Amino acid sequence: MHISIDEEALSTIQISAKNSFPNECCGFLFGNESNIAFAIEVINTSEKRKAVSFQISATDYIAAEQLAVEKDAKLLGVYHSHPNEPARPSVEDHEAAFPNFLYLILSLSKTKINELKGWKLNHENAFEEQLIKQ
Amino acid sequence: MATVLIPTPLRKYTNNTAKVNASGRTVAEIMNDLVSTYPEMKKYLFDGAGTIRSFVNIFVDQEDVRSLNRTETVVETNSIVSIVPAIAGGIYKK
Repeated sequence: MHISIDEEALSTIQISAKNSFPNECCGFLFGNESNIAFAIEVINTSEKRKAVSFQISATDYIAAEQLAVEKDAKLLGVYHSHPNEPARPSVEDHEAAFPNFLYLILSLSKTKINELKGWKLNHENAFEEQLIKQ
Repeated sequence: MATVLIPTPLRKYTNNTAKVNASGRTVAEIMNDLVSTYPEMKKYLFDGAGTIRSFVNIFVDQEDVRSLNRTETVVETNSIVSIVPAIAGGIYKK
């Protein structure tokens, strides 16, 4: 199964990642099961080094659920960036992951976007890549 | 019965229902009643030792139970209990 991503959502994620570099950015994804229609950036509240970690506050999570209702869209998941690292989930990404949620990871260096990959937990609780159609 | 707000990733296990009812006088009793009704949710809410996972936040009437009496926080019958996933991660290497 693949998921398409609208230009607006892709642009939000890329700008968010570039502006946050060398720190990680993060935000939420909205749309329907087959399409990411838009994304919003939220503050990385991690108390570890933000260059290697991200965290989203409970307040921002609750606001994202409310926004989904207001926009008649589904809260599909979250995105975050991996500066200078591949777009593969880390052990920490896996520890905190919830089922039925899409985790988009954008890999970038200082000068360019490298790759965007989507992941979801499968029935064995392992991350499985989801094809993202740009 | 208290009302429990289910976050989007776990609604698959409540027949896509965002609000469900659960019985109990404390957060612990509410959560146990919830997973007895919807057992598929248990592994995402509790760890192997039977305590609530660190990546699960629980609010009672908009107050984080960690700032109240944790799982012994009293829940009134008209209370709203919200389950909020703690979203975190990154490339951090231990």
